[in-house]
Amino acid sequence: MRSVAIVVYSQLMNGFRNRWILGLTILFALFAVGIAYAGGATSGHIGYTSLATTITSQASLVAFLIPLIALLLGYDAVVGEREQGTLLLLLSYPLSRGQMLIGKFLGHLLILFIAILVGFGLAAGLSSWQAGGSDLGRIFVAYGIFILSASLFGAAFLGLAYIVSVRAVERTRAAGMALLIWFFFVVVFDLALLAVLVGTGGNPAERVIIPYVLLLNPVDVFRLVNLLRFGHGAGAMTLSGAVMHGALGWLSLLGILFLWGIIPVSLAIWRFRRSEI
Amino acid sequence: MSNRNSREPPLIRVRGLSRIYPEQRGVHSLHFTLHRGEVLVLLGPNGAGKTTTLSMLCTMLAPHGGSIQIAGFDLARSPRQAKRALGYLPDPPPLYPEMTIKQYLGFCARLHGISRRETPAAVATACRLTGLTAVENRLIEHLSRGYRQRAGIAQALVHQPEVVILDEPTAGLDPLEAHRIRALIGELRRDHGILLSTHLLAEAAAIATRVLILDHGHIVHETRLDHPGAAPLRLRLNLGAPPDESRLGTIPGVAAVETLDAGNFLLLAEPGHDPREAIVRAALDYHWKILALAPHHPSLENLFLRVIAGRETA
Repeated sequence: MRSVAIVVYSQLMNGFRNRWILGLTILFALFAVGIAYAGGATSGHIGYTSLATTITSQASLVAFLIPLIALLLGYDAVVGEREQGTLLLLLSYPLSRGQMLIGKFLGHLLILFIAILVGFGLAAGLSSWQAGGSDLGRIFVAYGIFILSASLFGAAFLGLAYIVSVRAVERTRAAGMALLIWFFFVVVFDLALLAVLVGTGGNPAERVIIPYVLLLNPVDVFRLVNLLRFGHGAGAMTLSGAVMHGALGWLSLLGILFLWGIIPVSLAIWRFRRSEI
Repeated sequence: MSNRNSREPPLIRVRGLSRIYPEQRGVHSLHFTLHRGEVLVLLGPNGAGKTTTLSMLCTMLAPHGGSIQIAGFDLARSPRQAKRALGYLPDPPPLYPEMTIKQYLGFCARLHGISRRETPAAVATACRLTGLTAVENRLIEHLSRGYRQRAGIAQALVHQPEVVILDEPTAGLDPLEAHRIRALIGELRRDHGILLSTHLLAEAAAIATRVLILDHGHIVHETRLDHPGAAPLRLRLNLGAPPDESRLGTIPGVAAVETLDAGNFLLLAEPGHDPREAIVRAALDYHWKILALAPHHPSLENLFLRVIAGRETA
């Protein structure tokens, strides 16, 4: 446990040194505050709209951004150490492979979490200020759930990045693979599902199966958690909201997002323990 | 020094160590030990099994057979305790360029189980030993190759391990830096057991107390360099008026004679005998005009070439 904490701390310090944390926090803060303040601009209104609208808009943005950032953070976690020669060093230390990977993963997750917390925390503060100090409790609970789901969502893609990093033999190949993963889950998956639904006309069997197929994509699970929790019907306006409606509640979906947060990294650890360096 | 320490249990004990790759590559049933005060050098041509052996000692590769004990701990059964007694410098030195020397060594010390309170002192000691104190606050990416190599050695020493394993410690260094690193290894020998892999024969000759020559995964020769007197004495004799080769063979204590060229002979003494006085007396008595008489130590290079070439022609 102590060894894991040392690796986490080192990873975190590295995040501060190379300004990953600073950059991500500014990015999240700009987008979050921008959406919170100017989210209703298309309807001719600047300023506080509703909490539900703000968070669902922010969720749409996060669904694109966090997978990319998590994959960029994690794709060279192992292959980068291998290319740099430091993997040999770490493995010669009194530290198991599992401890090393868990430490690096938690360090990266902490970097992501700090950026999400500060960035969207600022948005929560702005929303409270715009709401004139009313509904403070509701706003902070809502952002709490949002930040938790965004962090689990980040953990899912960080875990996928670690699988790539453990398997890759070169950093450049790992980067290419990470981008393909982003493209598949964020762009291709829903389009393919939509094509199937439209092509077949949505027969009854598909209506039963498709909600569960959505669970195979953490992007959809994350969107659904926030749509069903905050959407007040807005969720039904999207494909995933429509097909999931009534099948699973947001809390169950948060549980599934938690599984997405731990299963990929567990697979990466399993693979790393068996790999030859 | 080796005699004194050979009474202590060995710091490394390797028994029947094997790792087999296709086409008979890898290493086959290696047996060797390393004691405190020794610099044991693994020599061998490319593909001889040096790196495979070091990788198994540092747990990067799992052996297919045999056992490794480090400081009395079995590497397979108690890897953590064994690794705590081990400092390893791979080639090239594994560094984090974005860290300062101090941060890097602090990270390494903490991973080796040194407490937060004791880490600054451990880092300062490693910096002093390796001559890094003046640059300890500089980023590694801004350091010269020589300083980076020292930083790599410092991380191997920061936890004061009993065993230090160095893979090509002077690779790519200029002659002055290489000399400094060799001097450092000589100093470290006092308190540690050092296992070193190199392809530089001159380096091995300069710092080794013992050499293992590996070829095709087997130890094909072992020689001590710190006790040359243990082997039968070899003498090079130059005479201005030489007698027949057979006449030289009759001098007491001389076991064999080889004529190198006119007037030059290589004499092999009987084990435990030093026939130099008898040779000088005979040369004076019979007016052979002695021009030179000196011990003849075959260079490590000659030994290496003889062993490896001998195996290739066999």
